[in-house]
Amino acid sequence: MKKKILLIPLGALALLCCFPILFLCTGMLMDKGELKECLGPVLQGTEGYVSWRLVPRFPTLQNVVELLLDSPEFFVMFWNSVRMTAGILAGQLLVGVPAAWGLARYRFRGRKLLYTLYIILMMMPFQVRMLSDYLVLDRLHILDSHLGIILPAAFSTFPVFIMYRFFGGIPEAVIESARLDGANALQIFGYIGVPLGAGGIVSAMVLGFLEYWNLIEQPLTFLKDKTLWPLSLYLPNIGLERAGTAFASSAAALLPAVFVFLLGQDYLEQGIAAAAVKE
Amino acid sequence: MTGFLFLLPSLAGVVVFILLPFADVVRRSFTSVLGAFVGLANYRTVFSNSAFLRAAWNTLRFTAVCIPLLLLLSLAAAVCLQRLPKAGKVLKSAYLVPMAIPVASVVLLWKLVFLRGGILNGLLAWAGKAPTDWMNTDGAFFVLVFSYLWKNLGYDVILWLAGLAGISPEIYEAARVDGAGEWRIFASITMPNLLPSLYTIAVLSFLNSFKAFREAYLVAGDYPHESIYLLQHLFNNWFRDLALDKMAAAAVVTAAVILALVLVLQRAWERE
Amino acid sequence: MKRSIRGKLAVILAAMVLGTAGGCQKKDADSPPKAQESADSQQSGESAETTQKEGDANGSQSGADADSQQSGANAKSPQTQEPDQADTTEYNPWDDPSYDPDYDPAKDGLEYAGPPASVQDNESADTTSAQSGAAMGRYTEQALPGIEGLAALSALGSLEDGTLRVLGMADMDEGAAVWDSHDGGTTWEKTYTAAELSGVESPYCISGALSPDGAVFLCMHPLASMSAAGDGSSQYVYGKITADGTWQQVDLALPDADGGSDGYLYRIAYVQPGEILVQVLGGDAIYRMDDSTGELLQTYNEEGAYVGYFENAGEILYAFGSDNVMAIDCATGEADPASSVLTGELESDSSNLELMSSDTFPTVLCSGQQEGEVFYATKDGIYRFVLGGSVVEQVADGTLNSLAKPSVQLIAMLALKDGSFLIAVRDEGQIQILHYTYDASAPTVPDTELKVYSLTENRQIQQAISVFQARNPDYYVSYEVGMTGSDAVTASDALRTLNTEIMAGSGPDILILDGMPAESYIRRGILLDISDVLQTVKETDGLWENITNAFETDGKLYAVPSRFRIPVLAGNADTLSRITDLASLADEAQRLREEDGDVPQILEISSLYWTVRAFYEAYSNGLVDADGAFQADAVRNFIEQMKRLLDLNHYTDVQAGHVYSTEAREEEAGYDFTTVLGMPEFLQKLVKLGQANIDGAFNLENFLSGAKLDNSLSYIPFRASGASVFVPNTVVGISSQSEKAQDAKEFVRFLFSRDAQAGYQEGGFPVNRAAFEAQIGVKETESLASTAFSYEDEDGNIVDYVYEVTGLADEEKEKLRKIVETLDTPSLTDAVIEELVVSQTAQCLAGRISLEEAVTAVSQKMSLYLQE
Repeated sequence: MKKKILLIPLGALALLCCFPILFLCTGMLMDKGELKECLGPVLQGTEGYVSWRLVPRFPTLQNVVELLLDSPEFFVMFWNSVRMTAGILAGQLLVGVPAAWGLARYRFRGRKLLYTLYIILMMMPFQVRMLSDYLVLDRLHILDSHLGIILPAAFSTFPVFIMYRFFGGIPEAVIESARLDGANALQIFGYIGVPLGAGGIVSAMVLGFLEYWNLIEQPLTFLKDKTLWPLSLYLPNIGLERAGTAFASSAAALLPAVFVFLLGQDYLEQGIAAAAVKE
Repeated sequence: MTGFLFLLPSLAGVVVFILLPFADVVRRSFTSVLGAFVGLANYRTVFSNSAFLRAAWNTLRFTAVCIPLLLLLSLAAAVCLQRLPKAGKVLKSAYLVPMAIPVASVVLLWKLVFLRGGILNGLLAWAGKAPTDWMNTDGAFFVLVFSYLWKNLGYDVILWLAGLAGISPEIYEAARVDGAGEWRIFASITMPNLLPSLYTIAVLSFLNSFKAFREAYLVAGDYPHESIYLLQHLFNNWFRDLALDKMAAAAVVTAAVILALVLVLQRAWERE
Repeated sequence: MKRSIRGKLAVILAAMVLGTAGGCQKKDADSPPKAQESADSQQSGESAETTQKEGDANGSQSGADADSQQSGANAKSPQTQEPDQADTTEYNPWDDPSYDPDYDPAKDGLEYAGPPASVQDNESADTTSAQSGAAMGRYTEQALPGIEGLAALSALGSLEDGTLRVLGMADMDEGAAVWDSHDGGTTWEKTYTAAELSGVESPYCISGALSPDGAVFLCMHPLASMSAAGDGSSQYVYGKITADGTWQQVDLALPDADGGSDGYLYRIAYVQPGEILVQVLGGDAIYRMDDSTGELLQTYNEEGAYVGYFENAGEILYAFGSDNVMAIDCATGEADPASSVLTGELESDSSNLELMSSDTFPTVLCSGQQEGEVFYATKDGIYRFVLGGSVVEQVADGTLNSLAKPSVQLIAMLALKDGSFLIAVRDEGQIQILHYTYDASAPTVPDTELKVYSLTENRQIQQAISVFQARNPDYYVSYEVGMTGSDAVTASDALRTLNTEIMAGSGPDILILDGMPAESYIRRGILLDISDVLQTVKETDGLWENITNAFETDGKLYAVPSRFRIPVLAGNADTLSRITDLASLADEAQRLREEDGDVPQILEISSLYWTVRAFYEAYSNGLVDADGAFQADAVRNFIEQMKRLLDLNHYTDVQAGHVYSTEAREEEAGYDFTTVLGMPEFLQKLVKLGQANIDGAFNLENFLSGAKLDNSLSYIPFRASGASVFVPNTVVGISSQSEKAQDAKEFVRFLFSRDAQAGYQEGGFPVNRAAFEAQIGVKETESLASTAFSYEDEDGNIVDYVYEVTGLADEEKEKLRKIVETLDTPSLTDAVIEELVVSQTAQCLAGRISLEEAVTAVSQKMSLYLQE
């Protein structure tokens, strides 16, 4: 009984978290006139307050159509985002998973130091590194290309940090038994470490996706060529004429993210369950 | 040694793409914009710069307020969710939604809610209270805190749940059999077992608090209300004005502070 | 679990790959500037191949490939065509750069040198750049000597024997005439006038077309006989002049139901000898008619999709709509699939389709000498396309010649047999015919590249760059704009990007510092001292030093304004004499309102956005005192007085909607309305006071000419904050990180020279004294324009009025000079402060925030900024 009461505040919280999606979806279906009416007070400074209807009075697919058919740049930017994010995640997998494994399961000199270093480096806000990053990328001649965004991000220490904990949670006994069976380091890593730490890996990937799908500062600074820009730079300062398209493109940008973590959620849970099962 | 080998590719990349730029920043903190060596002059300037002091104070205040709040809120939610497995699944997904919404859309939403003619004021007016200009008064701080909590709640809830799941149910059984009350169990079993998670989650939440800058910047511009003028705003503006020397010195100072914090945390965890 | 992870990852990867492929395709289709070949790109060899594959008539011809033509350059082998005119010695006058008018190539027995390397048979040519390594060869531009007596140009053509022909207007009295040149454009003679042939008096040439067989078709309007309508007969005369000079009036059987402009033919072109294509003004259909009988042979675009104008290349008709180009095969009347790549290319940039005036066009087109070859020109350059081909090739880069010049508008284009082009343009009122010839010895891209950067688009700089490059062909000046306005980049973002580039050493050489933190740059040593450059200009032409030395630091000049605007107030002379600053302006305005309760506006404010900006510029120096400390009272004063001024006006609801919008609207974007000083409004008794930051003599000429009708009207410099303020514009600086400081100085010297400053009138008065004098020097007797307006007099009658805008009277010129001499304080150029103050003020004036809130917000943000 007591438990059910908890549902109320929790449910309210959930609603609060989700209302933006509803807002976007209904806004996407409103036509220009209705948007003007509802959003005028903020976007144009007219009197009154922003209002919002659960169901648009005159639903229309105009915005969606305009986005899908009249905005070629949307598709270009969408695929740019996909390319960049995929590249980054692939790189992180390749480089970060072994790194986390190494840090978590092996004892060697300087390990603690390196781990602390990794955490600090994670924290640096971009504005600070901006110029220096630019200079390094310029030297390497990867400016103004997707590689210039992918490479630095692929070496980010953030996923290492997340996966470290998960790898750390794997019982030593399992590893010992594998070693006794004659497996070498790589095999242990591949057949035991990765599967058991999958929860951590997927978590890092999901979180990484959400982060890099929304990257703004790096593309703005390092990509001069507009045709390389990702979706996150697509939404300009929202003016009233574009509000409908803005909603539609927000919804469109939202979908992959939702898709990814719906996918990843299962594995997140399994990962959690796996970590919970202790021999 | 094998461990080091596993680490090597990552380390190589980190050195090139992260360490090297940072070293460059450190170097610049001791020179003028065009490269002439000036010793500690930049540091002196920075410490006597009132904009820096205000920004630093704001950032500290923001962090000190929002992180504990988030940790408590998400822990409470996680504990509740653990008791409600079926509903919990749905709720968990709901809490994660804010993370998926692209920043630009979030910004649009916040504009529609918090600006002068926004929904919040509309609700207040309807309820008979006076509307305030949220973004241009001290209320801006709370808007930022709210934004941070809203975005990161699900994230932390997931991590807490992972940590909670790691506590073996047998211990709970044993404690209940011994007659311990709910709170007692929580205090002496749950909490201690969560401490390792607490470290991770605290660090991650701290990291995310820096990201709050993005929303603040996109909603309120280069010069927001004083209460949400953060270090990153300052860096951004210094960069625009090509005050790279000041920026580098301030960056090094900030990094030093973070380093100190992390070391302290680590030391505290070692003891456990 | 492993398997299912793999499964799901596979799905994601597959989606990625497909998406990438899809994205790539889209990218190629959607990013036309990339798809174009530029003359020096390595891919040009590729394009040669593709065009070859498309089956060129001669199979082995290539496009105008710059670097693939090294080995074949200028071989003296005769062209393998045109043996018809066996007797005519075809020559290439452009071999001789001195344009000797007495030069008679027949005397020298010169052989035809053959077409330029670009259109030669290139079987033996390498497709990679051969000898020197640097890409060589490009089209250079020369302006043909002007045609005497030509007032307007309607058509440009050539005859079989190589004669060049122009159809145009001799002047209003003489009317339509035809000029021919037998020496490749050096000299022209009037062959005949339409008046003498047809007997129609003073025929105004509305449009016309030239046939290669020597015939001319005209649509004329006999000015002398303005026929009173009513009898249904068209007042326009159509006629054909045959090759031997016989006039034949033609009755065109134009369908009635087309726009109904009773036969005003907007466009005429020959599709083949004896048949013309015509478009009626306002109509969308294009008719094919016989030029002798007037018979309607075929109609294109009957459905009536909007067509702004059309061009044609032989039998292929290109109809330019508002956002699309229709390619119609005139033989079949259907869409021409072979032109799809071309139309797609044109459509990718809407400025290629936008009609800006009635007799100039954004894109001009003509057929080439080879089968299926089409050339077209836009402001971006000259392009070549072969029907059925898959790429459009850039043959000449517009930025290296006059095509990109803002003041140039295209009229017509013609491809000559020798591979060169003629493009007729109007440049600042003058008709010019530009000749583009291929010079294999000129480097494709000039040796010295200078980079110019400005935050927002600056037309004077674009103009100056075009002229500079035309005069200095070994320079290539590229122009980068930080905020194009078409994307989400803010000024801060653009500045940050610029700063990274400067620090990384790849920054621009010349900076136009409008809107940038100039003081910060000076302080950190980013700018070079250009006192020496200015010294030379001072010695030759003289400078307004009170303006140029505005930002003098330690005796050196790092940032120098090249133009300036003057804040003025206009209104009743008596009233003006009592106005000494912003507050007294508001006081006087109030007094005027108390006197006259009916006049709609006291101070003319038609847009909050622009008015606040203009007043800010006039007042801003008072916001920060000498030490850089912020004056909160000054801000309060500013907002308060502005509010008073605004409240004194009566607006209708419709007007209010426009006025109170705090953003510049799309139709206003790109034009600076702070310079507009209205005049008719005074005469119409709609306003009592006006304010503007005038940017050129024309503003004053317009105002003062109208003021002659009402002697009480006058103007004074507006000392809003009490100081004699001017607004610096196009502030020029050279980056200290530039490796081409000397070259940059050359360009800067040019920017301050009389030629660069005298021509283009937008953007501010020139600081170059000689240019300044030239600008204000228009005689009082000379009429520049006429302004028409109407007003309602006391009895409620609508009265139309016209007044001539003439040059300034001598006393007025002297008055202006004296005013400029007294200017000593630059308006605050800091863009951050401007943005803060203007946005808060506009919000307050629009009633969204209170005065207190506005002042607090400004104070707070300003102090943060100044503390940084």
